[in-house]
Amino acid sequence: MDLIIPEDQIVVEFNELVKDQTLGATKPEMVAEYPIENDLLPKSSPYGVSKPKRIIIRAKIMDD
Amino acid sequence: MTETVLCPSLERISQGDIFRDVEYFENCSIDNGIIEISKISFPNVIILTQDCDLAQEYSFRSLEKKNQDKMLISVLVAPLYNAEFVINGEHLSELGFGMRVFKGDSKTANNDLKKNNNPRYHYLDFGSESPLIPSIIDFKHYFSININYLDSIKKNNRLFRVEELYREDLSQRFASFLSRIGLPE
Repeated sequence: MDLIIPEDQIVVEFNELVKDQTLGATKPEMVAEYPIENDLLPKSSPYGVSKPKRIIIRAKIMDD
Repeated sequence: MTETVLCPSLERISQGDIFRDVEYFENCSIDNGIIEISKISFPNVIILTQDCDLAQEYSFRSLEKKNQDKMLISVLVAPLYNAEFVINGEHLSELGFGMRVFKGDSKTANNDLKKNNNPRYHYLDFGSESPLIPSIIDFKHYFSININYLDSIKKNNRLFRVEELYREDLSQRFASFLSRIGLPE
């Protein structure tokens, strides 16, 4: 499932998530350390919902 | 409720770190000029290797050392499965595996699962505020993964770290499961 979240919305969600952590990381400089480009933070898409999948890659070996 | 913390992206890999979308290399074969690589993609895995080993390994990489004595070849991890899928026995259905169904078992059996009284499984409930859903680790499914690979994906794929008390509990139960002795019936 692809998620397309506006960047400003990610920042808002992200700040709220950081403030809830026991580390109490509410300082802006600590927030900036986290990967805000991570599009999996919004709570509307919880992690770990899907099942493991097998991926098979086939390729032909080319002769020189 | 299992408490977690966010990890700064450059911090070293630690016991209890939860990574998303981790690929496990199954096998590789070559036949008639066709190479086939099979791998399994796990939505979430948790790091099980002892933290002291990970700390020493990080120190070894960071500083110039005379020898590679503290180097780790790989890191032990285990998949985190969606608890609901585990209870229904369908968490590995995409791989063609049918697993034990807990749903319909006695109330005691199900309670044992959630209270971590079943030595094979470890239940983690991150609370309603967390984006992580209740998950179950099957200790039988641990596997090792190259530490360089984990290091290369940690910036984008590391989600959270389980708080120290909860990861100590997990570590102790995993070690206990590995060291169990099977007796003949």
